[in-house]
Amino acid sequence: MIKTKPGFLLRRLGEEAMVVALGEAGEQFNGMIRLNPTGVLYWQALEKGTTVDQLVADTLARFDGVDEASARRDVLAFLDKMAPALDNDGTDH
Amino acid sequence: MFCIRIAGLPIGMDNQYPYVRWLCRDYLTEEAPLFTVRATREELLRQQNADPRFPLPYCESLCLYRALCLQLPRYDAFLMHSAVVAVDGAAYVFAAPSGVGKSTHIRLWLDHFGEKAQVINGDKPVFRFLDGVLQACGTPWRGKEELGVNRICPVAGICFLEQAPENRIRRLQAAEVTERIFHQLLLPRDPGDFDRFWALLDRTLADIPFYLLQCTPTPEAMQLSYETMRRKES
Repeated sequence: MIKTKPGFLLRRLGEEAMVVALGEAGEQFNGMIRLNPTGVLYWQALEKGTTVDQLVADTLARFDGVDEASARRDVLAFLDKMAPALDNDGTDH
Repeated sequence: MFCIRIAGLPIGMDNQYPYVRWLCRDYLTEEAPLFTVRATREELLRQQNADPRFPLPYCESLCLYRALCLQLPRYDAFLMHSAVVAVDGAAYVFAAPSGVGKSTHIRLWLDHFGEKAQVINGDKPVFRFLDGVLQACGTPWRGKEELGVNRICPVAGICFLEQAPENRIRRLQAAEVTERIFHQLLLPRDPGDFDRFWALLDRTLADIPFYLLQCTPTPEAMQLSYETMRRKES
């Protein structure tokens, strides 16, 4: 299961969405990371806790014409970018 | 213990060293404070650890200012690292990472306008929404050049500075502002204060024109920023 760490918040500024770090969290995270609309969906799923397979399945269900390999690549790239803000307990459930 | 008035807010200072009272000499008030800040020994030492050249009384002044600023969002106010110069009753705000040339740019304004221009704060001004208008406010913490006065003035525009071989200015879209402004702000740690702060930031982006000035350290750069921001050109 992968989940967002406490202290990292999804916020909107004007039309932009971003994840910002509060207090202590901010010390290992450079202020904020911008999210595109897909990133927002990933983040919202991660707030509840999810898995790579589930994120890939969500992506395939939401977007027509995306193949599984590229969906998985996008999900992994997103998780990599957000790694400092995520807890991964290594299990897939 | 003493009380100062910043941005129209009376704030109590529970100090250990006399330095901070001296620093705040132009801001003293007899009013009852809305809240009082103090720094523990541990906080002072942590501050000194960050830069061992600083004596403890100076570290205390930094700790107290940070503690004070973290509470400002409760009163529609926040700290933004920048230099503010006022001309004809309007405040012009310049923001950039240290060393880019905020002070140099502000000095060009003083050279040009003489007594007509006044630096409200050269380094760490407070901003506060008063009656729906964002105001730049003088504070005793004003950077090593000690430029600043106890005055409150409505903000005409906020301009980020970059060094460049020639002078150019343009309006910034909200998306371009976010990453630049973030580095100039003190983010509250308390979730409630953070949300109040965030609402102020959102309002600032909606209300105030933002610019990017790519500039040389010459009087032409100052003319360009003044003329553009005064007319709110895009």
